[in-house]
Amino acid sequence: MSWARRFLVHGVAWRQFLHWAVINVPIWLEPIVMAWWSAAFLLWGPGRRGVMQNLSAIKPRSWAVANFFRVYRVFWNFAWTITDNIRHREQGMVPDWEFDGIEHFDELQSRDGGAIILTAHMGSYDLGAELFAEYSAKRIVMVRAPETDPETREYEASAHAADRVQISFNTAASDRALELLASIQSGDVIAIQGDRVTPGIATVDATIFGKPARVPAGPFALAMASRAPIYPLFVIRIGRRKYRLLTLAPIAVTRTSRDRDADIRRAAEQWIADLESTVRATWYQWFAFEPFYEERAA
Amino acid sequence: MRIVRDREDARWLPSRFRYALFRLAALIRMTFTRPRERRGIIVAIDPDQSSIENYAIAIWVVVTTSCFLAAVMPFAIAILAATVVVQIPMHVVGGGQRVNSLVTLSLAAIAAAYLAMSPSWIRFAAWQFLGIVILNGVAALIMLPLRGAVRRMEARCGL
Repeated sequence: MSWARRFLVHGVAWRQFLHWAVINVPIWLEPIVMAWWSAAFLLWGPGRRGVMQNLSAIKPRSWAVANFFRVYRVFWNFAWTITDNIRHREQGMVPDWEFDGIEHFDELQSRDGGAIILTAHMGSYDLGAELFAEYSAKRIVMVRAPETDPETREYEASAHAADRVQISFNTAASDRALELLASIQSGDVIAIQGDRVTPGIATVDATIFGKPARVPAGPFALAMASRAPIYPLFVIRIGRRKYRLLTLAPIAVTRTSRDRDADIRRAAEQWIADLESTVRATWYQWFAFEPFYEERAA
Repeated sequence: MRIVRDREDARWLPSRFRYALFRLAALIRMTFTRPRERRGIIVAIDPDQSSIENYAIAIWVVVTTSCFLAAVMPFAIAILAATVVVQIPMHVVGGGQRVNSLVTLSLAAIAAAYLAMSPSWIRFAAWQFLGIVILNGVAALIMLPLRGAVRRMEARCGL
């Protein structure tokens, strides 16, 4: 039944409802509405279990019951950030911003050539990209996984049509690689999420929070080919309509030996160290609803 | 959207608040706040920007509605019911943020006016609701001649 698909988690109905809510919910009533919807999404079993499994790795000595309440906090933050995204797009709302690591952000903006921003599913990366587009002369291209539901994909495409940020969907290992390389060489900034792998893309084996995991190899290969630095950048929600843009020291991916994979692995390890330290401090807004590692039988 | 860069004290500009009571409180706070520069911050000037104001109103409306509902049910259940009841008008009216806000607060004021005559303790909740509405009206009157001061504060922040 195609109409029923609309109400699945990745269906379009929730996005349409959120759009309605942004227009109709009195601003002061938002916290109440958010509290209810965050609780309602606790019924989403796979998402809840995914976050709980990730939390058990981030906080190894935590209790399952404590993690259950932490999941609520993750959903609460997620509800606010997706609402802020829509409110920005529909009503021009701009949140307050704090820049952490502004020297790296300035360097990223003012450098002559292109660069790669490596980010995670944290806070509002859409708002972060919009902020960058607003205050930088550089063009930003966001690489993201396409929506699985066709109706949702169409809805999102039309919603983003007027954005100043160009969006490129990565679907397979070699797709878009040349296009992105040309983009960097012409001085663009490519923003990629480096904390989740989608089927069909090249990966690097890694250890995240002591668990065997995989991260996308694409950003590192792209940095090596283009000789552009990778800037780890995180958009962290620190309160209602308040975000922090954390920019860390750039990672240079250089060819030091004949072993290209070893050089990529070294850069990936640097990225993972940045990712771990950021997620450990702000676990409540790592929106990884699928486990980042597979639970292996003892 | 107007923004102020690198000025921490701009957070207290009255223009970042919607209701007169909060705008007046912000004006007083801003009067006694020294200009504070801090590199790497962007402060948006929007009347709906304040967290304190919006959370305070949400809590105030829910607690007051809970008191009203406590007339017909236990208080613990009334708190939960109030969080649902305050959402009903926007679904019925659906007229956009401003209209829905006005309708919800007007309904609360009508309920307060009715329950103010009640012989039970609920009349105190009703009176405090009406009292705050009246105070907000007084604050609005005070703010009228202070518009020039607000504009000067904005100019001080580069707006």
